[in-house]
Amino acid sequence: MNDGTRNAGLNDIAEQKKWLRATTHGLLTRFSRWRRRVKIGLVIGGGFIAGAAGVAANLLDPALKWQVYIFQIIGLALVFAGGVLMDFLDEGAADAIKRANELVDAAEERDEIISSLGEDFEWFTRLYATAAALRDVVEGVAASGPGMEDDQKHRFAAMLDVVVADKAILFGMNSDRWNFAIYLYESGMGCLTCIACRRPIRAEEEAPHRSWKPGEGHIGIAFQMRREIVAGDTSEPEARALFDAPEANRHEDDRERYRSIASLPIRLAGDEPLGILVATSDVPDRFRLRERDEEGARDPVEPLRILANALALVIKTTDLYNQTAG
Amino acid sequence: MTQPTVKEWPKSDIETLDREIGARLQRLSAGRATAQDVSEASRLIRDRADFMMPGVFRRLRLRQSEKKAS
Repeated sequence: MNDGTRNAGLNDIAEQKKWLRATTHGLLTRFSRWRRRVKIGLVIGGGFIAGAAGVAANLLDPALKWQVYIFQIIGLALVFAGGVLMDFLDEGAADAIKRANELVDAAEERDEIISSLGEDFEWFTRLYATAAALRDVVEGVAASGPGMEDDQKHRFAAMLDVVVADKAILFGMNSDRWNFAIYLYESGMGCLTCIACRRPIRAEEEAPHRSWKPGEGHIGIAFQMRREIVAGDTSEPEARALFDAPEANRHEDDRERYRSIASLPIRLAGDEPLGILVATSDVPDRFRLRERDEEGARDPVEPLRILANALALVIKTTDLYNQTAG
Repeated sequence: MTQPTVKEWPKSDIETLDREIGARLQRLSAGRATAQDVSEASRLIRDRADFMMPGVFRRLRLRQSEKKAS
């Protein structure tokens, strides 16, 4: 279902709900007015009949009084009906209002569930499409070989582009200052160097990037520990104590700019890491660990896991090609 | 007060599940897997799927199982 149809559907539900509220309110208001008039009419009419009958009883012959008493009883019965029986109808009205409100609440809850499931479905389908696109890249390398060194660099940048293109849905990003980068371990230099990077500003992408030794900063720690390191808010003292870069490698705006970070090892199962995929944002909790009991399905780290795995496959396949060629 | 260590930093449940699944699948592909490995691998795969499932489906399933139990 496209956005237009879904919105039309939701608008239709909203219209129906509005109609239900207006109709219920109108019916209950009319019913309430009608009930009040009947109640007043019964009490006044009944009282009048009973009173008139009482006066007439004093004027009539005692032998005929029983007829008047009948009228008096009827009058009192009408007063009783107006005063007591109509209260039962009041209780019925309160129940009708309660049930109508419950119905509207249930319809609202259903709307919210549908809307939330719609977002989850969009996220899952986009994740699947992203994974399929990355698999195509991997299959291309396996089938045709990695090509030249420049081809590989372009391929890594293209793989970042596949994820960056859907950053709004996959990560919920809008006007963030974001950064996606691939660091590979250079054994000769003993450090991790950036080989591809995507940022909102081209000049920042092309500027020289810092290198990280294993165990140094967020990236170096993830590489050394061989595990995902995700920090939702790096301004928290615990995160700062652990992940702040060494003084010499620190920039003034690091804390502001890299507010949430996810560093994932680029590795195949059981293998040593080949590098690190890092994603950052200046918005806290943009990257965070999803809890098991969360309502939504969106996991901002899952697309990065898929990308890191695809990168590892491309690198390993390239190594195999090179070994065969060598 | 003692400083926190990186080892204490929260681990991703999914990453842990993936590693557990990977270990069993490696044993399977190496022909060293036991019947227990196979059933654990399928349970772990289901756990991973459950982990990603939206809360509303988990609630519905819980409600259904409660209805069946009562």
